[in-house]
Amino acid sequence: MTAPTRVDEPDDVTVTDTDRPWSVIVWDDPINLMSYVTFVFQKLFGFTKEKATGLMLEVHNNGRTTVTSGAREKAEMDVYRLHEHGLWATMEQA
Amino acid sequence: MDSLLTRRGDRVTIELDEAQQAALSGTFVQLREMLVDGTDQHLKRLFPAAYPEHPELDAEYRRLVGDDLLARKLDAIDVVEAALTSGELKDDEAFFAWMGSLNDLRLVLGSKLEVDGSDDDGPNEGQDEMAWAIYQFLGYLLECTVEIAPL
Repeated sequence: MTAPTRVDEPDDVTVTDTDRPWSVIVWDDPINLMSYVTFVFQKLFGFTKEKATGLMLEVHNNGRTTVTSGAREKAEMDVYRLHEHGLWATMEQA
Repeated sequence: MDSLLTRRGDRVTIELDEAQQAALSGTFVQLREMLVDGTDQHLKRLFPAAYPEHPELDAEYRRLVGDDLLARKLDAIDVVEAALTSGELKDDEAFFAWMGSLNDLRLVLGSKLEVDGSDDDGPNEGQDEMAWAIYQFLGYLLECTVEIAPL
């Protein structure tokens, strides 16, 4: 176990494990356009049109999908950029 | 329907008639007022939880990014209002502010209109038909925007 990277970790950090990666999840919503969601995946993560379309369809058909994963800080930045673009994104530890 | 946006290099021309322009401007003014006021429940869709299962981590996330996210959305509305007046987006920065802000407005309107993706979406009894028409139009305008978006 590594030492916590933030000194002001809130109390409920005991339920998270600093070593395990975080997944960035995008959830289906009835409003966002499929073309827009596909484009945002391409723009933010550099995915090909095919990969971005595949992820968008997973969101549409399964209700959610994991778009990226990694350390907490990186995942949080990805969630922020998705929020900036109006996508419904959350993060959870694998 | 022809595209409402034409790209020439970095510049994009927006062709709206007066009624479309006035309806959009008025609705963006309302969005700005809602964002500044901050209490309308339909704004929730613009500021989702990052950590739905960890309220304290989520509060920390909101403390870190909340003001920035709001400021960016307000700045983007300025860009949209200027573009609606000039009929032009002069560079990629303006283009992406326009795209994001159209989407923000669509999310808030869709949330208000209780759009749920089912077949009975549409102006329900007692609902504002004008708001529904603007929601539909925003969808078309956003499609036109995504079609010419640069990567």
